[in-house]
Amino acid sequence: MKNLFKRTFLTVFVLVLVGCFSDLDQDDPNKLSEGTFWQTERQLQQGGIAAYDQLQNLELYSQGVSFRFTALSDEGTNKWPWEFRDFVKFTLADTDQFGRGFWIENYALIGRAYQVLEREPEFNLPALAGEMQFLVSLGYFNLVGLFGENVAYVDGIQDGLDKPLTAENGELYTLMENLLLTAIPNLPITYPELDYGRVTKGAAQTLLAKIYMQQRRYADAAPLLKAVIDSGQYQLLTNFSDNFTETGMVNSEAVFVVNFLENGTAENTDTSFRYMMFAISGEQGVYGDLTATNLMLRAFNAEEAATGSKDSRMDHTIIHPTSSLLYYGLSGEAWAATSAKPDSLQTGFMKYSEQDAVGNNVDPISGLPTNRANLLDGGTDYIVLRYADVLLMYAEVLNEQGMTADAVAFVDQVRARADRPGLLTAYPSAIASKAAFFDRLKQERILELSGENWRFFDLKRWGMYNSELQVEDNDFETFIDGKNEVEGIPQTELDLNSNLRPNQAN
Amino acid sequence: MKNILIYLKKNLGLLCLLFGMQSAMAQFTVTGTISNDVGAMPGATVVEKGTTNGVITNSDGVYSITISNPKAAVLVFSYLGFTTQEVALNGRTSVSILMAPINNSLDEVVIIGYGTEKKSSITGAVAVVDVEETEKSLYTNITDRLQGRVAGVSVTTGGEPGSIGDIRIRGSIFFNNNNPLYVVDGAVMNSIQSIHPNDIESIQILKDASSASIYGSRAANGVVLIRTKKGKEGKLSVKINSSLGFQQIARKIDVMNTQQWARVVRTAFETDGGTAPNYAINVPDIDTDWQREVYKTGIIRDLNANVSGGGENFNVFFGVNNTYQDGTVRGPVYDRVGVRLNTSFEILKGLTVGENLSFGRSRQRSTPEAGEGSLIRTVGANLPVIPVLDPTRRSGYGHGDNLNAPSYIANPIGAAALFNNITKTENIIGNVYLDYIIIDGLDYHFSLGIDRSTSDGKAWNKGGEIRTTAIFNSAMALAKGKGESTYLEHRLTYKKTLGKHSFSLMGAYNDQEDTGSETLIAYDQSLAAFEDGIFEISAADPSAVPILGSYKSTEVVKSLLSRLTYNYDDRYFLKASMRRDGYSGFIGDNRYGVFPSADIAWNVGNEPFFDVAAISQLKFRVTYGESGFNEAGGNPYFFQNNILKGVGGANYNLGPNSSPVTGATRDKALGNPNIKWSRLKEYNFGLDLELFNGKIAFNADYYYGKVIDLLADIPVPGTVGLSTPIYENITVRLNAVDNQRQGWETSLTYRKRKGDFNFSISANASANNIVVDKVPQGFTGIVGNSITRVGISRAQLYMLEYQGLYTAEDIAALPGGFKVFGNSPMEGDAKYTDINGDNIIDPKDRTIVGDVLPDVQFGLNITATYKNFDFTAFMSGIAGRNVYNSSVQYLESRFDVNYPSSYNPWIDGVGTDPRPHSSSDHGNYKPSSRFVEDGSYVKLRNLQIGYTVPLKTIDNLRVYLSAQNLFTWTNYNSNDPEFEGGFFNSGEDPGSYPTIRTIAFGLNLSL
Repeated sequence: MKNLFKRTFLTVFVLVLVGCFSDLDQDDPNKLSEGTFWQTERQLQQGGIAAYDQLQNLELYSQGVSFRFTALSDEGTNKWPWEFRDFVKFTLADTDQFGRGFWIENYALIGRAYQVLEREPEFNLPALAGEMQFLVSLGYFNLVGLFGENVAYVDGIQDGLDKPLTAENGELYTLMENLLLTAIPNLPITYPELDYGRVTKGAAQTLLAKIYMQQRRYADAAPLLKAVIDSGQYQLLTNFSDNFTETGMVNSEAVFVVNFLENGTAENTDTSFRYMMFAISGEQGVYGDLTATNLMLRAFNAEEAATGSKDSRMDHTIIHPTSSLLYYGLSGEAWAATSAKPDSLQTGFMKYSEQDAVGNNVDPISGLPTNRANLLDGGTDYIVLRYADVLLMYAEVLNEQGMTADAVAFVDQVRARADRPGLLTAYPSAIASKAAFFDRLKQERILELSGENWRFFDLKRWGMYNSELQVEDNDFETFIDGKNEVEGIPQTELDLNSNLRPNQAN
Repeated sequence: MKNILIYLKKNLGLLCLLFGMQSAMAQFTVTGTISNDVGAMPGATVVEKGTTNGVITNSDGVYSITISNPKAAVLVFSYLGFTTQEVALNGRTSVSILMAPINNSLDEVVIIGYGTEKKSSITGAVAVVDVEETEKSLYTNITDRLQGRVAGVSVTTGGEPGSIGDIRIRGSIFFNNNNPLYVVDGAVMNSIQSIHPNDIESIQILKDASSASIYGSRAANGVVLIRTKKGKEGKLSVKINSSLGFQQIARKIDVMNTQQWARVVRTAFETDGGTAPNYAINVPDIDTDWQREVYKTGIIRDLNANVSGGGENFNVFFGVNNTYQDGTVRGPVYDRVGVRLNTSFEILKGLTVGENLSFGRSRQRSTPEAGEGSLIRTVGANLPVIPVLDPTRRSGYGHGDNLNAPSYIANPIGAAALFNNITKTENIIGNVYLDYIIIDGLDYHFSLGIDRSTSDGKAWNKGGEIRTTAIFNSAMALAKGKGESTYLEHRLTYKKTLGKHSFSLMGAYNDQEDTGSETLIAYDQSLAAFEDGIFEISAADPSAVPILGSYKSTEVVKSLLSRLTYNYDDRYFLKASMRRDGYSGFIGDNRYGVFPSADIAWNVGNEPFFDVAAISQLKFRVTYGESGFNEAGGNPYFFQNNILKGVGGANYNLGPNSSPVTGATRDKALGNPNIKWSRLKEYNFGLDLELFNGKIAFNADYYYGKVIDLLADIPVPGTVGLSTPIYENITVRLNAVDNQRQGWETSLTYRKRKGDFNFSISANASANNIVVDKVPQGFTGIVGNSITRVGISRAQLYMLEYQGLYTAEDIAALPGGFKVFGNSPMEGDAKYTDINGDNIIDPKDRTIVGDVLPDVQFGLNITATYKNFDFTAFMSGIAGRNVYNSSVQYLESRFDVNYPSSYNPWIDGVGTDPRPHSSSDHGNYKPSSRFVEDGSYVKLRNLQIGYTVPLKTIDNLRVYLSAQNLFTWTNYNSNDPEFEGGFFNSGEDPGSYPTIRTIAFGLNLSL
């Protein structure tokens, strides 16, 4: 009887003390749930910041946008026999290699912006909505630029199971125009210094002007550009080169800028990696993935021949054998020697090459300065839309509308900053006709804007993006008309979305 | 032999103290001979009943035992495979015994999950593993030792020290985790890596859905039931096993030497234009065989010892073990120490408490990775023109450069010298239990199981440069992890026999809670935080901001279950069970799942009308069961979308000085609130046959079923709007795929005994086929180079169909504008079938070119003993499987990695492979049937010769020589045909660690 009591006691003890434990309702302790977030204005503003953050992505303005549009224009080429060469020669069959990352990250920019846009009406923050409308448009501007108009049509938050349809011609331009037209009246003209980097009214007007110009709707673009110029918010910097180096100051020439941070905390992708790919050759810690063609060298040499003086922009635009500047510690001549290639390409891109940051790097073993680039050296803010471009765009728009004489002043304004004589002095014949002015404007855009990825859009707008009109870049020898005007839709995206159509390049 | 206790007191005094035993006073000696129908039996056990006093017969079968009271003493004679006999001495001092073999193993009791069952009463497809045979394996974990042992169970072993193989029961049916459920001493465990295989007494594998369904939620991959060793009443036993082996990579990919490489590269550039790398033209006098430099002979050492024994009311097993393995490449080392204590005490009549516990510590130094993927993957890819050491390089290790040898692969010798990665793990695994016989036939069982492990990882590297244009700075990452799994069981069992009717009823309640947590501190290479060479947080450069991370998770499963069995006269068997599981990872109505099963069996052999002398058993079995599966990946919170915010999140920099600003957006781990259990519904038809008193045993099972609502992470289009690197797809977890599965498995054992010669063969073979029934709307099923499509087997190879080389006549006959991936083909280029007939070869011409699921898998084990010699040969393999040799495709496609020796490119009209080009994107290198190979193989897994040394002073001493993975017969041209890739691309070689060949010698000693 005593034993029975002991047994019963023990069993009851076990059942009471360790009968069961834990609960089936378990929430994620690591992250906030989407269903319970998005309650406050502050949270919506943070959603907006996340959309801006996407601009720093490696596939976008940290590297990818510049790389792709420069590679596919006659500014950039590649001497090395890897996939980059096939890409610049338009013979790369693998559409995923350089297409898919660009696709995913631009749609991520669009997706992050729509997460804010769809929730904005609850909070009534039209200015924030305007910023997001601009970012959606910028994402589509890049996508349409690379793949053409028939990419996936996304105009809201996507579910994992959504398979968006292919956009028909015109649909995306209409979407971008509507978004920007809605945004422009709601956006501020300027921001306090700590908000430098946000989308302004001028940025939206400039982007919309670019969208119109790519459709050759010059008359629609003209008032937008005029409004930007007349706003008084922007002016050319005294030093051309300050646009492409880290100054730590608000840049009055930047209409829209993507901010970068040298040695940004490693877990946030705050640093620009553009310079890593844009060197003349694979030396000194950088890669010669995208070297310059002789397009710029010839344009600057022609300018010097015509005016009798060297263009002060030359050494800040390209590294070349007679440059006065060092490039990662070596002279232009020394770099030209590393090239050792039969096609006598001797130049590389100097803009955004982070020379000042590289100068501080030391060897981990010897402790001596290396003049070699390290990861995270890229702190220079990238100017997506620059006032000098606005001036040249306006000149082009005026000329296209037959107002050639009115256009001259805007070109001269840009030339003057580089101590260039006015067109009337330097190129008197260029102002004689609309066609002559247009030819001059092409050169002016090379001198001022090369290496800033606009040449690709210029060639397309001017009907020059084909196998015949490219003499400066023999990469275009393998360009197939009717096919290579656009990049193929990434094969994996076609595999994953049965609603997506291949395009002419697939 | 002297009284074992005296021996132990002299030599192992501490162990004697442990058990608190005293030397018995020797008064009488009893002697005799133990024999069977063919002769004397060395190694048979004689124990004085109710005591720990026992001896073993010598090589002539003679024993001599000292006892205190020959009038009252009872001796117990036993030998594995023979019926145990008890003999009362009644004053005799000489007793000789004739032992009778157990006719068959049918009376053996096996564990079936939440209870035991006589083997003859089993109704499902339950495999009983021959643990003794697995102990001959040199693998140091039990999973790898199961390789090829059981029909329908396959194991893909990894060669890296400390790695554990992937085990598949009836093939992979799930998306991510296809590992079975492990149940150790009744408690569900997540990992059995820390259990030393020599501590294991028995293993049963529940293969069919009905048998497994008692484990419900995670059981659809099958269940492995493990029972660890217990002490036995009587003689105190001491066993020591030791082995020392030497290991080498069993197969390499032969690659080209410098001259061969240079010739192909030159030709490629002559064809395509451009300037070839300098070293391909001005070939240097360097010819590095990287595989020879990197691969070395490794050592594997295992030592384990155990003491076991028991008395009337208790039993004890105490074991210690140490395993050491250093790798077959420079760097990796694995060292494990473990201790086990299993005890049980009957503290009151019918009330037993006990525990099975093991403690383990391990230290694993991993294969170094230096940013270029695994060492194994890249070692063959290094160019032969690069020297191992090069004093002109920053760190003294040779590497490529753009002009001479454009290679971006890290120097593996340099990587091993500069990069370190060590993980220390400690764990406790085991359970505490209570068994209470409430009334006769009614038992209450309580068990609390734990599986706790902490891991402490540290990876660090000095600064330097070991590949082209990539200076790295010092870096360090610390990761601490903790995994806690707790298992609780309350169980009531009632058993009753009424005449010829026996039945049992079992009901139980289960709780399982798994929690995990991790913290991470990492200083990456950009920070240069440890340039002084002291790798501690306190020594970090104060300006360096590390990456911080943490993660926690909790998963809970609660279950109620019951089972009824009925048996009439050992002729008719019935079993039914039901289990209801609730799982914290599912929400709402999807949370609970019910998993039923029902079996019937008929043992014709026991029918009175069935009287065939040769047939000792003939049993037919039919079962139906359902089991579930609840995971597809590591994240248990997949029911909701989360917000990415905080450190490493979507933060931006505003202002002229780029000040940080917090952002928040949808996290890329997409949630899905609608997911529910995956479910396996399966019929199993089985047959057991034994002939000639167990000389021949035959089992066969056929199964057919459906796997429905299979959880899979389906890649979604990039338009979903979430940022991710392109090598890491955004996925959404869905109950995505329905499959049909059918297959068969069979095993045959034949035993022969003739005089001093014993011989046994056991063979098994199995096959299964999985056909896809349903895929999600809009999902093309193309993942990598494979396709999963309704109506065919999963993961078929989907690529171009290679037709050979273009001849000049072919080229002339091509229609105008015919292009292969953008190029006009040349003589000697690869010719592919233009599937859609559009005169353009591109991804639209992909087609199914291979079936990756094997036709049959098999294992064959032969053991023989002759006098004191024993011999074992074990082989296993698969046949009828196509695989994609991605290693060779990668190596052939790039001039900046070395070419495989098998590459025989068309150069000047000679050569059988497509001509070389300088671009890896060229059509010649596209994935095609050219790289699809027969993945069949047979491996001689184990060959062992042992000799039992006839010594009178100890019970048993056996020495052996053993070879593992001595030969592989295969036509596959890469490291190892034994691999399994992902769910949707399982036939694509992931280039994993190659199989290791081991030659070892060892000894087994019993005292």
